[in-house]
Amino acid sequence: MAIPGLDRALRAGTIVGLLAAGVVAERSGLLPEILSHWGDILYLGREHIYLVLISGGLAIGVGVPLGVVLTRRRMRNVAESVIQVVNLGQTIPTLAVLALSMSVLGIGTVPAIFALWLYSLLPIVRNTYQGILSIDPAMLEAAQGMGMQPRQMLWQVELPNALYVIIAGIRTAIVINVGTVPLAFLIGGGGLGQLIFTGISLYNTGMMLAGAVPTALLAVVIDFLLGMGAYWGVPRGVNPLR
Amino acid sequence: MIRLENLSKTFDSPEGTVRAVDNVTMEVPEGEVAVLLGPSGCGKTTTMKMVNRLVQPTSGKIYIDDKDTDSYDAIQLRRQLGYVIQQIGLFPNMTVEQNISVVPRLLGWSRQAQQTRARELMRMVALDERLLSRFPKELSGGQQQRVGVARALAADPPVLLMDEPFGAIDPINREVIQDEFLKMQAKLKKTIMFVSHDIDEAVKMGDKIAIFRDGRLEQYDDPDMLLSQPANPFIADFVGGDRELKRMRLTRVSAAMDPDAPTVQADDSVANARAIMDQAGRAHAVVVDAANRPMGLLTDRQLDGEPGRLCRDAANPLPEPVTADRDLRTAVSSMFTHDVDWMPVVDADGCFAGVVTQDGIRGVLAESRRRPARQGAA
Repeated sequence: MAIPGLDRALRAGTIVGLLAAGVVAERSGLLPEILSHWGDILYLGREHIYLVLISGGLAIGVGVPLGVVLTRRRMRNVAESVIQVVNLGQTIPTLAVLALSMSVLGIGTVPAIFALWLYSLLPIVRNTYQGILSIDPAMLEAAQGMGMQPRQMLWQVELPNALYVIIAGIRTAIVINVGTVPLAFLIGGGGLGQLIFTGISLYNTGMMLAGAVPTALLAVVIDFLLGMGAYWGVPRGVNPLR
Repeated sequence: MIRLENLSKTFDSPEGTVRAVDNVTMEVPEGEVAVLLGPSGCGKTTTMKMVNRLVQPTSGKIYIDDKDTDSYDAIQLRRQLGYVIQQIGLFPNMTVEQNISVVPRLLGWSRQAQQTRARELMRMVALDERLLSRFPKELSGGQQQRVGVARALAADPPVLLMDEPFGAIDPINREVIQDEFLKMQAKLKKTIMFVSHDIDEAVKMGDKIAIFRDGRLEQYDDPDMLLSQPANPFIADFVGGDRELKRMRLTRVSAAMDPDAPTVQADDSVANARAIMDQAGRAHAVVVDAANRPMGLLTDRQLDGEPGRLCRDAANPLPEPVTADRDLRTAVSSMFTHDVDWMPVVDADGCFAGVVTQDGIRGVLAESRRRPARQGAA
């Protein structure tokens, strides 16, 4: 983002790379093989998206308010410790979180969603907290001095000015989430992981790629959509991209 | 009017209790600017923040227009006091217009009223209306501070609190904004409490200056009294060794000039000029043209010789004139520049108004130095 030229070059390189990969896939007969799983891709892809939306939506719904609450004055004493725990939680491997979730909640969609939710929660809480704390204290003093109530300060000053950082956190969380969903298959959560892991077990490259390629595409598309959301949704005055 | 009565604020710190503000009593009269001045940590900002209750006083009372501020809800009180801070504190997520309209919006004005007011304020602070749709980061520092002032004035509060409002602006722009602000204040007549650490700014902006040290109000007086009769060595030191020079900024040339200096018309004869000078008992006369603009100087020495000569021809060149509404400092500086000890004074139209001399200026400065000192600090 700091070097716009580099950003553009990387994007162009990605597209060229994808095209080349497509050509190779077609020539080697992999593409028809992948497409032979089309029905599974659609069904499992929908399940995959469903898992992302539910766990990610819940993570946003809980993470942002939690981050906000931690910045309130009366929480100042405990906030740092909570953030330490959050940072620590982020270092636990995703697979371990899934395993822990399964050991408590059993197998199926619910433990999968719970584990995904928990793992997505962390970047959102952390970014919301730090985004709001990084707001210039002078701005808050001005807001207070002009007679804004705490609630008005939150909605009119703090959240809009932290929005870019908050959305960056959401973006990180959701992209990790999309990439983690395949693991949910291991505890019976469904999703494109079913094609990937089955493909690996059967040494069936086509089936494996039928899961892996859509997963990768999904991550790229969702990241792109969230990027657009940040570009257009964050007010121009506090949007470093505009 | 703002009145502080025995206002104190103490903080608890690891080294014990700190008296940040110690029993301050003062009054800012209606429509005047009181500058709270002092070194950093002297309690001036804390004093001001107690007025809008950003800091809760430990003891003492604050009255605004004779109403105890404790009887207001803090939020309601702040909406009635304009507030400008050094860091400006514009909201980057809002456009200039939204920034200006914050308090009107909080007060529930109609959208129409907000828009009209925002345009009015932009004219008042000399900014282009087209900037209303810009964001703060798209403005220069000086423009941002003007928006900050406009925002504070939005709901037309009778009282303004300004915490080093021009401190972050470069010196050249600061002078310009100060001048504009003074012009605006001459019309608006707000009651203003203005925090500064700069004696020059205080002398320029203040109708009165309150000097603080270690939380105590040391002297509260008009700028001329403060400069001519500092109450103690600390204040004398703080206002600086050049305080007489600073005083000269406070007095207009018109106050020190001699309006009765004799003049003679350019096409008068020298003989006539002699009569006028004899009558006035002066050795000099200023030669003026038909429009009463000064154009030369006659001294009695030049009057010798041919009595029929015209003054125009006999006159010596004149020092550069100074305008009557400039301050004495400008006049003195100009005198030193041209190496003269007097200058003609003209009004705004360039017509002769009198002469100002170094002796005259000395006299004016000495006169107010002899005025009896008032009880400044309580």
